Amino acid sequence: MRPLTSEEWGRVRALFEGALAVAAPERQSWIDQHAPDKPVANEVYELISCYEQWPDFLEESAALGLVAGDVRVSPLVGRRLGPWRLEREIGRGGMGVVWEAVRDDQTFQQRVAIKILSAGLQSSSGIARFVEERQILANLSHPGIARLLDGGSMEDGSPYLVMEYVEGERLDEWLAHSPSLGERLRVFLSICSAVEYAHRHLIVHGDLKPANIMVTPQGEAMLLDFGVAKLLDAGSEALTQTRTRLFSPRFASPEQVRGQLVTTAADVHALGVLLYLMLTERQPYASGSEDTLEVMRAICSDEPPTPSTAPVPWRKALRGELEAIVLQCLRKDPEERYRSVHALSEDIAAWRDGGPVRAHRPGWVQRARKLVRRNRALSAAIMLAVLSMIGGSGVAFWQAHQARQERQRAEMRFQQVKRLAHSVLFDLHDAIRDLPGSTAARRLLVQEALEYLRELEATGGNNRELDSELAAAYMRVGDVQTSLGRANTGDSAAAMQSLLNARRLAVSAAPANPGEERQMQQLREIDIALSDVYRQQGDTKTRRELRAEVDKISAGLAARHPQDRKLRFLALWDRAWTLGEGGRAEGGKATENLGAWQNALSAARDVLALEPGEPEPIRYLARCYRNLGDAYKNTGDRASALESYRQALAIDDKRASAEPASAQPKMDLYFDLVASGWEHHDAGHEEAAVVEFERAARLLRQICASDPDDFLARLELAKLLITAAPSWQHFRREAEVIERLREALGYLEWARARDPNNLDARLHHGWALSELGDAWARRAGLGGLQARDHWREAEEDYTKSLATLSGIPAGARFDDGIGPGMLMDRDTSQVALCRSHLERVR
Amino acid sequence: MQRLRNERANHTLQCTALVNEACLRLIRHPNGREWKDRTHFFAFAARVMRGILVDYGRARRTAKRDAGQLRVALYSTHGEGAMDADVVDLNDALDDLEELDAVQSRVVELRYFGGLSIEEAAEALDLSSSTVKREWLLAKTWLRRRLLEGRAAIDQ
Repeated sequence: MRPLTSEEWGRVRALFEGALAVAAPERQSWIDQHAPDKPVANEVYELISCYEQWPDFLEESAALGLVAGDVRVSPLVGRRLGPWRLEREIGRGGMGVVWEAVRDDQTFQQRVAIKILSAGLQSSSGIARFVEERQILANLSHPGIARLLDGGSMEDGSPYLVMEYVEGERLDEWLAHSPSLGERLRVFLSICSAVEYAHRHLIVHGDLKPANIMVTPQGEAMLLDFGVAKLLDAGSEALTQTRTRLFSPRFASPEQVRGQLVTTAADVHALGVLLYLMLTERQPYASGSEDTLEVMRAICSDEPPTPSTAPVPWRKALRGELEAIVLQCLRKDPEERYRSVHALSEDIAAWRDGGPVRAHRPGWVQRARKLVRRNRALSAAIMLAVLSMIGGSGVAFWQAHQARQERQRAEMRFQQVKRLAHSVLFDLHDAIRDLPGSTAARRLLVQEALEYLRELEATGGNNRELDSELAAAYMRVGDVQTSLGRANTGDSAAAMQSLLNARRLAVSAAPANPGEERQMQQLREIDIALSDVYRQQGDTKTRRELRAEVDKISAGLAARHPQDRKLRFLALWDRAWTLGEGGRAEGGKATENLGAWQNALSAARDVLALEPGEPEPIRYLARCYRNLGDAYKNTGDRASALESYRQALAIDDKRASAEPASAQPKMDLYFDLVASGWEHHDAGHEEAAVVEFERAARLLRQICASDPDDFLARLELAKLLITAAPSWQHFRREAEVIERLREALGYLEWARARDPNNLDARLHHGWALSELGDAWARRAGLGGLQARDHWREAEEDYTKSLATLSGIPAGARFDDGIGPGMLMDRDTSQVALCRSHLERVR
Repeated sequence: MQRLRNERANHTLQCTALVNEACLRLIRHPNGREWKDRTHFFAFAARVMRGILVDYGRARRTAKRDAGQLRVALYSTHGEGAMDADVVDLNDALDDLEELDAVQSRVVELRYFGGLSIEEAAEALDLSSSTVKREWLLAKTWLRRRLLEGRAAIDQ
């Protein structure tokens, strides 16, 4: 079909709209009457019939679509529920009746189980909540969870749920065949995997018990009724009443019995009861008693009998570690149980494989990172949901949620969301971090977060776990405020404050867990970030002290973990940095520094071999090459220097084209280009140097254009324009050099207004003025009618430069040891030169 | 006078609790704050979401790993006609629409990716609600057909 002209499109628009305004059956004739010609009429027909067929297309926003899935309430007609035809009753219990049913429309055959619940939903708000919860459950998709396919409510208000039909036998029936210990553990681990998956989706089962678990003929566990307890909870008005009714006392946790918050920890407890039962064939609490009250009392106050005293053939195997695992699940205090199902299953797998069972729980950050790594797609989904909520569309959903005045329930939900969001939502900031144009949004997030942090800190008291989290948070704040490596908002004073806060908290958290290296790594990262801020301030002494600290920390970490290739790499990397200030050590140190970078490079390759294709190791590899290039350069080996830069360029080029939307690889590429450009310049190849500088400038202009708030890119662009001016001067007319310096001045004025405390920006501002003075002086030197004006321009610029530079402490030293003094000396003598010329011309 | 450039020494910051908490806070107090520039933020969020979704869609296409569980419900209907269309295709179709009618493409971006209501989209675009509604109906219908055409082309 040929594309429509804009004129035709205009007609199509008008006709489409007109046709929609008339009743559906009359649309066709209406179009016939009004369409000017056949092609337009056809187009409108097609569109109208498309609309009639799919009126709901795109009506649900992307993010909500992710949450809601495609389940809808369908009305019930007799024994047919939606597309499902009930076939036979297969079970009956406290909650309702279970039917086997088939889908009997033309498209496909599907066998399902339909549970018709006896608990009535008493109001429209109850139904709405039920539907909402059900939609969340419908998105659970795991081989170990019977999928919730559909659901709705019958005319009498009883809700029904359509679930995947599972073949197999119930766990208690399966246990009756006396499977071996190994088989039991395998099935238990598959149960864990399903529960763990659900927890990642903010769903707590709340009613794990053998009757809810099927073992398939293949020997895999399959969980039924996931979240159904909570689902009914959601739909019911009489909350407390249903809650007591809905859990099975034998598998309840102490907090459930007491009617307190039900969180993932309750599922960990229930898994402990299951494991106890599977391993000992006894109940852990009030074994043999049928009295519900007695069971509930025992759950809250009795310690279960030691598992290895049970009369089972493998009781010797239970002794020690395995029973310690079981008992850790069954602690009365949720805080003392395994922090996650993942930690539990890891321990069991470790026991099975003869590995060390972990004595203490993994840190929060580590767990979170693992979760995030394992479930990137999920992170994206939640991130989107959150973004859309920020954007406003989800607001109604959450307002409705808040409006439910069940404080407890909201609190419970909040706890779950918090715990899981902690791990998953990390990605929100990171995902937008490298997107061009996101600096402003990041700043917004950070401002909001800071406020929150301050509150949290004020109320947090003396909690070391919290301290460590807060330290991590402050560090991130500092990173957004100013960072030498990536886009930032440019607020160095605030960044220093944030990082000092982070350091204080990290130091106070460190002694709490002497066995945990996490705090030391955290301290290392904070010190690196801080040293960068001091570098921006020209405070060489403090920066060196911090770098020495960093070096010490990472050397210690590597020494304590000789097998860890990553730590080894970081130690070598830090060593090389400390030795050479990057690659820049000169004289006798240059050779030592070269060796250090060669070591770091080979360690970086080792890490990459361990994690091929991972972005972070690849980036490090490129950075090693660049620093190695600098190191070669300082030993005078220019050919090797150039080759190293070439390697770095090749890697970053590839990264940049693989992630065109991301600013970070562009920035890295920029640094490579500049390094390589300077090498060409020093070798006297001005032409090659200018090619690199031009490309570097183009890259930075791109980044600046895409992100109006990016401080780093603007400052770097200004620096490039200033420092490359002499090279440009070889090929360009003075007028163009002046134009570029003025462009640089524009960025620097913006940067200084944005961050008045940034001495690096101030230094370069003075420097730019000084270069501009040089440019005018060169022009003046050519003579001509305007020479006098040019001398005056030059004098003015030098004077301004002096005024700007005089605000910097005399001892401050910036990149390559440049301080204000050397620039000012030159300015002063240049001013004198200008004046003498002006005198003479007069 | 010359200098070498190095970016900062080292940088392996991982995500922190901070952002989560920031978001949670925003969620919990949806009306607690006024964005300085609502319109701008909406447009930005929509653009970001579109980018992220499409990136994930692409990643899923290239690497069909088990992580690719990100299903985007383009259809909210049940029964016939429900088809699990791909967000990448939608994105391409949206690019085509932009050539034909830039305003409509913006409306779709704000409504579908940004989750804005008709009224909010109207505010963001500085148009009347009734105009936005009209543009929306035609735009999404056009896209629907475009996707069907694309599918037919692949089937052949």
